[in-house]
Amino acid sequence: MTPPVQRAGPLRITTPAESVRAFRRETGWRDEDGPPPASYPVVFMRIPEIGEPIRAAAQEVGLPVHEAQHFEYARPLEIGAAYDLMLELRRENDPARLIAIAEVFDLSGAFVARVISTLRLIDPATVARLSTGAAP
Amino acid sequence: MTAAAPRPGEKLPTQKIGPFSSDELVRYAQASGDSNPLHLDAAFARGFGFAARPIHGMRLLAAFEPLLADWRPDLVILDLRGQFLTPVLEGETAILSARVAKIENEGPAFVAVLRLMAQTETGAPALMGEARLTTRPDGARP
Repeated sequence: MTPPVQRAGPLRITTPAESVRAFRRETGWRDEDGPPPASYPVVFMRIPEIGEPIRAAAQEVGLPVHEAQHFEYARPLEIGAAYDLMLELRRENDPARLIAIAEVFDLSGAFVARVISTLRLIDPATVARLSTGAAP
Repeated sequence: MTAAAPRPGEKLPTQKIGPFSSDELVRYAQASGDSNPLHLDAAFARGFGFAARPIHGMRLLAAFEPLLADWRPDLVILDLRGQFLTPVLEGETAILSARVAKIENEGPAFVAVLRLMAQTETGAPALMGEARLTTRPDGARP
């Protein structure tokens, strides 16, 4: 059983131009060339040090379903830049949830953004209710 | 030149997005790194009670950003949030709408608070959210 609160970091993250272009292209921007959108930090979840603890915690219950998302900025992300990310994972029960709180800092240590992802953890035994419930 | 604050109650043009194809689900998964099989494996999705693969909830929230940028390219997002409600499925469309709820900090450094809503093609709420925007310091387009 994973502990109710896990922390990781600092984890180095970057905003490569090609990754930003791909994200813009697939989220409806007419112009692929531009700065990282505010929602771009979801891409950071693909980093194993961030994604794996989330997957591991979720798998103890079942399917992670995206319930809510929040991005808060002190200033926008820049393209082709490096940042440090501090991650905190919180488990909640009844209903089972995993809340991932990521804080992004520039390399001087200044706060840039906070990203909060709320995932409902769905027990497969309750799947019949999913079709009318939260969107993933 | 100082940017003018939008008026409370102002509605942005609604936007229809989709229908979302299988290829689009795959491409978004690749671009975002969200490879949850619920979005990529039709049999897996059916096993969890969905008639088809649901599109990623984040795809809906992210779609508001170009809408907001088209409306006011001189503003920048301070805060963007959304709660994912009814799923939008592969092959379906969604309608995005937004309106200015209030203006905070009247003056050059105003903050516009917008309510966001995405609806399924049957009118069910797919996403409810909020965006807070302020003036871009350099006035540049995103």
